[in-house]
Amino acid sequence: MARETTNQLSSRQPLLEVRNLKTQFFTAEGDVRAVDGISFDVYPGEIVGLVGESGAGKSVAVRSIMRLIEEPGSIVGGEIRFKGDLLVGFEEHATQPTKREAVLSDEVMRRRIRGREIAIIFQDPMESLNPVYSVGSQLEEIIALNRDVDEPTAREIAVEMLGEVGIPEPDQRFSEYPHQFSGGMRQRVLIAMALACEPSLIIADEPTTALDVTVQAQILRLVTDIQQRYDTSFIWVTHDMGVIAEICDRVNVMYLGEIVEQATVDDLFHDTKHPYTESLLGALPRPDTTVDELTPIEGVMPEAIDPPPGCRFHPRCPDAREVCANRRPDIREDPDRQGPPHWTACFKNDAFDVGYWESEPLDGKRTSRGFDAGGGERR
Amino acid sequence: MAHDSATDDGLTEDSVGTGTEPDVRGVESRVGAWNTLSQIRGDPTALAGLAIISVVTLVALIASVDYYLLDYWLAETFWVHPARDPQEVEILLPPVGLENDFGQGTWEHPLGTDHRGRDIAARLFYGTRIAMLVGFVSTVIGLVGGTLVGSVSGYYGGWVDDVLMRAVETLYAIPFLVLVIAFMAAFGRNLTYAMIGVGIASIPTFARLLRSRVVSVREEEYVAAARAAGVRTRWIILRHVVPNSFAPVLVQATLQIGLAILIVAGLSFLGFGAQPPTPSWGQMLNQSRDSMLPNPWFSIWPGLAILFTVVGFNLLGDGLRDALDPHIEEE
Repeated sequence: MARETTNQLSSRQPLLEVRNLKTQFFTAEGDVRAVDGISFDVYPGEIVGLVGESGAGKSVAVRSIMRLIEEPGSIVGGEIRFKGDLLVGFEEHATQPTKREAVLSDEVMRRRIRGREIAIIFQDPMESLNPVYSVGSQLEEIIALNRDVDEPTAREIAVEMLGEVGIPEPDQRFSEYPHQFSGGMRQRVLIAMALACEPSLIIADEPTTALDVTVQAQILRLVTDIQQRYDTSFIWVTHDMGVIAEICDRVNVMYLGEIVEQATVDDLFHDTKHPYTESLLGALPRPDTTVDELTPIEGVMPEAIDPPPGCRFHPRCPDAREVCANRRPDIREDPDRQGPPHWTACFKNDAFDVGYWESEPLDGKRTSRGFDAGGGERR
Repeated sequence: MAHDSATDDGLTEDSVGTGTEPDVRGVESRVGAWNTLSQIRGDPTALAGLAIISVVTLVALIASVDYYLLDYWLAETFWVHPARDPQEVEILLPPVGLENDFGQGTWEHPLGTDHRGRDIAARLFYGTRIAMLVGFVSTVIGLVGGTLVGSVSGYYGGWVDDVLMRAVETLYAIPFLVLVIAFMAAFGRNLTYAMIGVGIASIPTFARLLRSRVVSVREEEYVAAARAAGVRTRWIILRHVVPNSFAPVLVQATLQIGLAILIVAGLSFLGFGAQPPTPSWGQMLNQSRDSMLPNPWFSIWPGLAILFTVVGFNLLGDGLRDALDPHIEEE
């Protein structure tokens, strides 16, 4: 695993900077704030995790990076910078893209960024390949499109790529159709397609969710292997803390369109700060501890169309107090910390001075959507 | 399937695939031209349709070569010229073996002669060329136009969709034949305009059919993947969206060829299609009106030819529909 020391990271220039990104969907029921002001960095050669429940806005966040958001959604704020180019740029509090510096045009975005610099692997390997063309010709298409090579060379590279991702007899399988591949094999093909143009960043949008665990393990091994060989950065979107522990260097935990905790993978697992992250970890079966029952997170995630006031997690949070229901925490770095930065959006964080510890616990006042005191004893 | 046994790190992935896999494979394996052909091979009605179309197409090809390249050389040397009045006029002879007021049917004119003494068999033979030409050309015009309109409309959606679809619906609201006749009244009465008119009038059918599929196919993940890989929009439509939406359009096109033949025969009957002396089935029907009683065969032969051809296309169309729609077999 390419786990760099985080001190080194901070001195380097980030590959991708996401600042206060906001993406909304304008539906008949109201505006859905799918992504509501998230910020994170991806440094060269690292695997950054983006973890959260379904509907937390993970996929929307990564699609926003590629500017693939479609009607009725649109990016409404924030800034995304990739290798110095501005992919998304809004002035602070402005609703129109900024004029002070050119945001890449759609044409440039398509030609220079998509596929060539940033590639994406989608969730469902069953659906991400076109059933009417052979696997090889689809791979060849991407190569011919993004690299300046002629057709025989593109074919050669395509066969080579198939072998690279561990497909046996790539020569023969080149001309086979997607339905002749199993799920794991298709996912390998998709990885080959993403790798085809040697991008600097690959976004993996839950690529192993549709696979069973043995195949998932193989794919994860392949990815870490590739990551080391090509020195590609990854953004790994998942809801599986196990996968995060397996491959990520740093992790962003998302809840209802916000990033609530941001830390290295070691810190996240061993020095968990945010109650939501704790809940996620509590719901994960672990071989090193024996528990009679896993602890589910009580309640369901509210709709992003009408997020709860105050801290968005407070209706489900076991540690919620009065102040959490009234004020909304932003994400802050722990001031007293030594070592790699660790950010949390929780009033328990010492960076906040809002009287959390003096505030009344909310336990008695919870609604049906909230937390049941009986099942909530953590750890 | 042959490759189910593919192994990976010593594991048989197939045995541990996702739960939906077998079903998905069952459906997806029915993709591809080769598969469609083998489906049709097992369907006797579709095979019958294919056989009829093959015969008719062959006849039309021979007639076309003779007409365009040899200027009726074949007919004049071995047979009877279909468009020129014969020297010794034996009008309205019955088919061989039958007798009427004008005489006895002979082997010289096996299907009889028309009101100007021309051989009906020869005219039928060369009329095939017109019928097939009309069927294919007008359908291709409708298919290309409809595909263009339908795919753009379905893929882009929004106001583009609204504008295009309202236009198409306006066209759809006008009765087919009225539209074609109006078109020919504006541009001229000949076969070319008949074909173009029928083609344009069939654009709405294709456009609406394709659009309805494109709207769902554009949401497929491989389309999103192509977009994310930086593929140009028109190339996505052409390569990824249209081929995956095309099956119902293909079926419709097959049926449309039959329909176009019928419509243009009707136009020729009304005097709007191929002009004399060019032999065409509809025009033969028209000319046979006055002599239907003394010689009913004069009108029966071209009628049979039209019926035969149109039935052929309809049978094949139905067979194609069964072969291309994975849901029908499940029922």
